[in-house]
This record gives sequence, structure tokens and C-alpha cells, in this order.
Amino acid sequence: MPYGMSKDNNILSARRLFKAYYIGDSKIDVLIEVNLNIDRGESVSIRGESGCGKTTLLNILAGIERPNSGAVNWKGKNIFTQKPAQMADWRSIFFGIIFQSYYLIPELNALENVYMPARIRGELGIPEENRAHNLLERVGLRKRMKSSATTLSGGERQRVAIARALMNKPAVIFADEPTGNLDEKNGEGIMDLILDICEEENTALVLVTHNKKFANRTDRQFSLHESKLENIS
Amino acid sequence: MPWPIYLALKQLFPSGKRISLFFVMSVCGVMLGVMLLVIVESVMGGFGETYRKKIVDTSGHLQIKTNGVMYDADTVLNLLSRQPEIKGAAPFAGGVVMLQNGSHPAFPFVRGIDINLESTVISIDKFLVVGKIDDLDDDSVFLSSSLATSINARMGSTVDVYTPIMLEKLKSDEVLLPRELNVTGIYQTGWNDFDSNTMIVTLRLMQDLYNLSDAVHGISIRLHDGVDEFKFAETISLDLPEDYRAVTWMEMYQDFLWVLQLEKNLMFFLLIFIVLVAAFVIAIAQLLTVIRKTREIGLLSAIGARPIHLMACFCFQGFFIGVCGTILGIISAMTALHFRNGIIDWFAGITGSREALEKFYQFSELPVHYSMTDFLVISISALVLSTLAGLVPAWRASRLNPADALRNE
Ligand SMILES: Nc1ncnc2c1ncn2[C@@H]1O[C@H](COP(=O)(O)OP(=O)(O)O)[C@@H](O)[C@H]1O
Ligand SMILES: [Mg+2]
Repeated sequence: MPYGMSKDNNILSARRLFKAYYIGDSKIDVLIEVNLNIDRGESVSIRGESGCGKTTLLNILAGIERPNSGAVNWKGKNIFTQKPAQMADWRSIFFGIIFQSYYLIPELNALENVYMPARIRGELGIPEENRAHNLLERVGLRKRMKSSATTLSGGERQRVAIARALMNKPAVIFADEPTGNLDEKNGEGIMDLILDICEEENTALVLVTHNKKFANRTDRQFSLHESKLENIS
Repeated sequence: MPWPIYLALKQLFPSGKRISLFFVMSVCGVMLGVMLLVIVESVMGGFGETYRKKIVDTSGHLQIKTNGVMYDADTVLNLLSRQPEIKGAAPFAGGVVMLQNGSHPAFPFVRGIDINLESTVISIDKFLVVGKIDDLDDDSVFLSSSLATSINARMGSTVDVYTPIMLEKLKSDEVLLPRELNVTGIYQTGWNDFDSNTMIVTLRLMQDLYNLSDAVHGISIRLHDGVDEFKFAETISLDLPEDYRAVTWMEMYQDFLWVLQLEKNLMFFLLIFIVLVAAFVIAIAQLLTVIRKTREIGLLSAIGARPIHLMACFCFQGFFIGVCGTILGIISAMTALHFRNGIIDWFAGITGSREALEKFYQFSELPVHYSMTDFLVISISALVLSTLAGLVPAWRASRLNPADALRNE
């Protein structure tokens, strides 16, 4: 999608985010006055050196972590004004998250892992079951549905995690270095999958990556440098 | 199924993997505690029941007593005979005498019974090892088994009886002549109080020995099956003449039964500590699980799990461990109790203590009484303790900050 969408299309916007960590007496500024708008269905990438605060920014956007000041508005409402339980419900309905280290639940098989967000949301039924099946088929794991999460390879685990992130039909997917633990070939496959699926499902994507090639495939590219977010597209 | 329960069960029984060892160990802890509690409480309950039955068998359900001696037993017996709840009533007189067989003396308690009425209350025939109830007359005596042994008397022996009345006569320089009685029966009831040092004579003889003329010391009563003796004791007391009381078997042996109950309660108190230790095992195992699963907990939180549900998930594991441990504990206890006689035989065999067991407890078989109340108290205690044990780790899990949890590499 082209840069500069109409205001109506905006779903998530970060306003003047500040975040610092305090270790003893010393203060580490991680984010300084970060602003970001994300429109429906668009993809955005954030690049930056290791330790510059990409994960922190993503966590704040996803409502997992609180900023020191600033707001993350979802359709005009600051999500951080809600109680923890409401925020949890919020995340479950609107957001999907993919991490570098997959974080599958080892006691569950692939299908059960994908189905977990629907359980947490409390919507269990035939349509949800079908969706879990279809998503696993879509990520190419039709034959591994009943496999325990611990018996899957890294690439396979990340595919399960992608299907899981999409389970509740989120409006935004946050992907934090999803190929960071994979070899080049696997990484490319995963990246293709994420970009294609988000396109198909009309889901917005916030992608954190080191890889310039992957970053360039998103609609807009940002770089986090010295605690500030710059548009480099 | 709510997801916290689903996930809790999955963590204990993972898909396509072996059952969690933490779970097995925790369940074993609770199981052992519950098993011991059930076994000990049931055996103690069995002793209690056996004693209670022996007491009723040897003393009747109730006794009508008054202060000192009862001169109008016939009036009371008449009144009692009109009560439909009463199966039988018999007057008795009792006291201590000195007994001598050759050079062997003893000081047994004598019970004088009305031969015609006694069998409606206490079936002495059932307890007689040798002799028949018809063999008892005014010149004969039944001895309890231990008494017979201690004075070396047997069937047909002649024993001398001295009464306190004779001592009074002795003070006034009268000639002291003992009463000579024939041993025509030896009895064993299985109730130590009776078997150790008692003898039975006719009521007439006892009245004679104690100078009671027509008076008695009390009336023992047996009720029909199913009649509540405690309620009946209350109602009949209202109809009795002044100064007369209906005393239940429980009141007669109040102190003994109280000690019995105290022992049982003490055992519960001591053994519940095993369950408490098991609860600590659960707490530690669950705490380890929470620490091990920090990142998964962070993930669940990130994909929308509410803190309270995370807490429920881990709390339920404690509860579920408690349920499994309790059920297995009760089953294994009942199995062990089912085979108790074999186990005791074996144990008595290797320790050579079978005789001591019989002598002390008067039972050749270990009695067992299952009480619903005991089971409920044990189960609820075990469940409460295990759930509480799960609460601490659960609380920790719910307090984890998802961002920090996810960074926990
Ligand atoms: N909980 C925390 N306490 C203190 N410092 C933290 C904490 N989380 C992250 N940091 C620091 O903040 C900086 C940014 O971290 P992060 O967002 O993970 O960077 P990136 O994802 O870009 O590698 C790092 O220097 C990291 O050490
Ligand atoms: Mg990072």
C-alpha cells in the first residue's frame, strides 16, 4: 500500500513514546519521542542494531510493556488506560505476535498450539477448528499437525507460531526478528510466508529485522537509531 | 473446558509425551499421607466399634441406677415392661468379694444376676467356654477365664467366698465362715474389663452375701435393634421415679471411650503432617515448573491470557494433584486393609508378636470400621492443603511481567 493513507484507515498510532530502563542509578534511554502510524493492512519494518530497543518498541506497540510516557492509540483510544485483564483481552482479539524463539508450548502438539489463542479468547467451535487446520495447511505443516511441538525443527516451529499468531484473525501482526534463529534458506521461506499471509488476510504487519532485503519488502521502512525512529523508505 | 484447566491437564499429561514426573512424585506424596491416614483412622475406628459392641454385649444398652440400693425394682421393672422399645430388662446386684481357692486368693467383682431375666439382656450362654446357664444355682459360681487361671480353679473346683459383711461380723467376734461355691462355668467375653477379674452368681446369692434382702443395685436393659439408646434414655428418665437415672453404655465407659477418641484424633493430627509435607513437595514442584515455564507464561500473557486465568491454571494443578493423591490414597488404603490379616500374620510372624497382640487387644483379627466422616475430613484436608500449596506458585506466575518473562532466555 502506498505511503500516506487517509486518517480513517489508521488503526494503531504511537504518540511521543518515551522509554528508559533504570539499572541502579544509571538510566538507559531506549526510546525518545517515538511516533508511528500503522494503517489497516499495511506492512512496516523496523531495523536497527542489536540492543537499540526494537523489541522494546514492539512490546509497547503490542501492549505487552508500558512506556514511561506517551500513548499507543487503537482507533483513537489509548490502550494503556485499560486494566491488565482488559489489555489481555485486547491483545487476544486484535494482535498476533511472532517471536524470534517461537515459544511454542511443549506439552501441546502443533494443532493444539495453533488453537490456543482461540481457547484463550473463549471461542471454540467448528469454524475455529477448521481455521486452525487451514492455517497449518497454509504454512505447509499438514502432515505434522499431531506432532509434539518439541519434535519440530526450528523452521517448522516458526511456521506453527505464524499460524498461531493468525488464529484469531488479528488486525496487526507483530513479528520480532522471526528469522533470527533460522538459516538463510529457511529464513527466506518464513519471510515469504509471513508477507504473503498478511497480504492474503489483509493483516497489518510490524516486522522487526536485521535483514535489509526482508525490510525492503514491506510498504514502509523505519530505522531505530540512537533511540529515535526514522522513516528511511 | 476453560483453557486454564485444559492447559493445566496438558502440562500434567502432555500430548504425545510421557506423564510429568513432577506430577507423579507430588501425587505419591499426597497418596502416602492419605493412605496412612485412612488406614490408621479406620483401624482405630474399628477398635472403637469393637469395644462399643463388647460394652453393649456385656452391659446392655442402658442401666437404671439410683443412689445406693434399689428397693422397688419390681415397680420399675413393671414400668419398663410397658415400653415397646425395650427387648429385655434384668435386675442385678454387684460388689467386691474375696475369693480363695486353696492358697490362691483374689478380689473379683461379683455380679448377681436374675437367671430367668438375664438372658433377655446379656446372653451369658454365648460367652460360656464351659458350662451352661442352667448350671448356675445358689451354691455355684461362674468365673471369668483370667480369674479362673489366676486362682488355679477349674470346672468342679470349690472356692471360698468372703464378703465385707463377714468382716463386720468378725469385728463383733463372730465366727467367720466362708461361703463355699462350686465352679460350674467359665466365661470369656473378649472384653478385658469383664474377663480379667469378675465372677457371676445368682441374684439371690448376691443379695444374701451383701445382706440386701430384696434390694438390687440396678437394672440393665437391652433395646430392640434400631432404637436410639440415647434418645430413649432421655425419655425414660422422665417416667422414672425421683433419684432414678437411665445411664447409657457410653456414660458407663465415658472415660475409656473418651481416651479412645482422643487417641484417634491425635493420630489424625500427627499423620496430617505427612500430607502437609506432601503439600510442600507440591509447592516446590510447582514453583520449579513456574520458573521453568517463565517464557511460556510470558507468551500466554502476550497472546491474551488474563493474570487471573494464569493463576487458575497453576492453582488447578495443585488441586488436581490433591484429587489424584486422595483417590489413590483411599484406594490403596482400602486394598491394604482388605488384605490386613495376611499382612498382620506376616508381620506378627517375623516379630513373633501375635500372642501379645491377642492378649492386649483381645482381638485375633484387626478390626476395621470405615467412617464416612473420617473419609470426608481426610479428603477435604488433603485437597485444601494441596490447593493451598499450588497457590503460591500460581500467584507468582500471575505476577510475572510478560515483557520480562519473554526476555528470560
Ligand atoms: N528489563 C530491562 N531492564 C533493563 N534493561 C533492559 C531491559 N529490557 C531491555 N533492556 C535494555 O534495553 C535495551 C534495548 O533492548 P531491546 O529492546 O531488547 O533491543 P533490541 O531488540 O533492539 O535488540 C538493551 O540495551 C537492553 O539491555
Ligand atoms: Mg530484540
